[in-house]
Amino acid sequence: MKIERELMRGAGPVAVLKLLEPGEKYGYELVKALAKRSDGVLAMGQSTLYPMLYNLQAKGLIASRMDKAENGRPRKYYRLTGKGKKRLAHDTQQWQAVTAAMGALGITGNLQGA
Amino acid sequence: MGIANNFRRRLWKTPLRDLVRGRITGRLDIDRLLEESSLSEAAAGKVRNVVKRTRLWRLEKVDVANELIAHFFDGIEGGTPIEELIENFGDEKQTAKLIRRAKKRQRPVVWQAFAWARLCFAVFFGVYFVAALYLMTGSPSVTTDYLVILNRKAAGVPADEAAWPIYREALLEMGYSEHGDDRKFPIDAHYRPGDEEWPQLSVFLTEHAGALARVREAADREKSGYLMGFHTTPDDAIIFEPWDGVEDPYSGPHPSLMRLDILKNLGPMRLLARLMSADCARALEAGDADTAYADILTQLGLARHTAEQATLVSGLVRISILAHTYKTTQEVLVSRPDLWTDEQLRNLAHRFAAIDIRPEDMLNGGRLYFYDYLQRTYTDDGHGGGRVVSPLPDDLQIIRGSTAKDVAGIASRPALAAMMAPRDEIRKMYDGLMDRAIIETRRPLWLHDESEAVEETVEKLRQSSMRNRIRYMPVLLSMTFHSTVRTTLQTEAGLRDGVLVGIGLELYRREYGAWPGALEELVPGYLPGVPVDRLTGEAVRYLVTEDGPVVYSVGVDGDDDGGRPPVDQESEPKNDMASPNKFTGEARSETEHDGDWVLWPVPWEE
Repeated sequence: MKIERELMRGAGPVAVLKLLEPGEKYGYELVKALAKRSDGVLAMGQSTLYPMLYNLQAKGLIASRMDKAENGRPRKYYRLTGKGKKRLAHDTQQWQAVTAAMGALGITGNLQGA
Repeated sequence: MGIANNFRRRLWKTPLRDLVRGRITGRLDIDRLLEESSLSEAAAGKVRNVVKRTRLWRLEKVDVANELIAHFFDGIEGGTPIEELIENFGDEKQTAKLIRRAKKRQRPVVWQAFAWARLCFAVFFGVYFVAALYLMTGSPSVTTDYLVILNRKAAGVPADEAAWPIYREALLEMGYSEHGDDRKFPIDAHYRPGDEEWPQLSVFLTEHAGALARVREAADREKSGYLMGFHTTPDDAIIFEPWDGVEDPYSGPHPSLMRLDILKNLGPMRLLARLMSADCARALEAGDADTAYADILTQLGLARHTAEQATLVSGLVRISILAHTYKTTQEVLVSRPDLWTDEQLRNLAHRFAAIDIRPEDMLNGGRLYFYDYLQRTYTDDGHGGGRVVSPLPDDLQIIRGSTAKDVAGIASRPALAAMMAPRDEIRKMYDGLMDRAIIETRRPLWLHDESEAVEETVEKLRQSSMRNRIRYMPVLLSMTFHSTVRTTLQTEAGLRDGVLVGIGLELYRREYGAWPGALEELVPGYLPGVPVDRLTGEAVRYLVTEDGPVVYSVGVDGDDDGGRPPVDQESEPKNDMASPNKFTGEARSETEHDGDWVLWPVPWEE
């Protein structure tokens, strides 16, 4: 299932920040992880991912470094900054509140219990 | 086909910072980068198109290209077919747009500030350009010849009944000329008996008795017939510099009326009045009662002719001539009370009492000038509306004494035009204020309420927001004369009251051999009524001193100081300091105006 663009605009950055929480990752790694861990719901191509990464970097939430990959090619790795960690914690709370509210409305969670 | 890797290309594709360090790296060469990456043609094309479309700085493009190339290779190594990677890439145009936007956010703060400044600048100039275009697409249409309206009375005077040609001949005979840069006249007409230069003036007057007789003949005529205009008529060219009019930036029947020097007769008429006043003094010395009497009547005629065109300026010149006439009359009555016969005195009193200066003539003349300004600076939609196309009222600036046009002023014209009120709104506001000003001018000063005065309304507008000041700028620049008209008219009326009482007192003295105990004794035989104090509404004050009777108003301070006029810094009597000309709400309590406004005999300044 592909989610709406507006929803993706809100969820995508938090998802990327969350994926970077354990440690640094490069672009393709993030694409794969997003697709796998969200069962394809938050899958995104280069056209969405890289602008998003550049935006997060412009806001100071992530930082990057260039390094050489195993194949010898240059590769850019992204990692969370201190500011990014705070934002992730804040956004996580927000999403949890939204999810709980949606659950209470029977939109998310156990629909049978609604 | 491989890309040439020549020196020139590498030099061109090397960042400046590398060149400065002496290295020719060619690392900005994205085509070479893609070629060396061995990426499939389809994937490389995708990267190339996106990078090219971003229109980023060259180093930024290289950064993006490297990242996208790495992404493809990471995908291939991760087991994803290249076709799938290309398919999942997304829309090139959209990708380029988003990458460009995001990358620009990463640029230095200085660049961001510059970008914002550039944007603001562009928006400002965009608005400015549109406003300028809006301005340039309209043009004023000058449809009414207000000069014809102002000249209507003079134009109807038959040539053989007009006074002006006779005045002109007399001026020429006495050597008056405005040819060349300066006004030329053989002698200064201001001197009075006792002045060192008086004998020369007296001789001049005697030698030009014929010309003065012509002036008297002209002043006796009903109308002047002088036509104001922008061109010197062939007849007037005998005394005036031939004048082909002023440069007219607009189309229309005539240039803007705001050109003040179109009333070229005012200076000569004033001079003639001065000469008649001097001649009256000469006749007084010689004991020539009839000539002195005729000279006073001539001054009245000159004053009347001066205001044939109902303009503010001509009205003020008329009042100035009248004030001088009252002064001359007083000189005769005080120094030679018995010079004139009873009949001459009574006739003079009747002539003075018949003077009728209508404030609306003076102010409505100004209104025509303003209408003329409107038709020259606004478009006309046929229903009274229109927009301004020449917002800076240059002609009004002339009146304000400033013709300065700085660059900022000119550059701000379109912006001003966009902010200024439309024609009908401006005219409605102006008319409303002018109608109120005329009513106020007719209202006695003791009923004048400063807080409700037109000048207070105008001042509030002047102190209001910048937007309002610009919006109603023409009105603000124009509504500057009415308070002067009001106080000038009241001053003239007070001086006329004084000379009428003075004549009445002299006639009474002749009959009874003494001054009356109260002014009421002059009524009705010598005066129709006791004049009111123009500043309080009560009867004017009267007392008899060793030097004779004194008639006075309590003056702007409102206190009865026993007929004592205020004094100036040299302790000289300064009558004007207590007159309505100093009338303002505050002036009533100011000690500098301590004293009375003496109406008879007026302590005229020398």
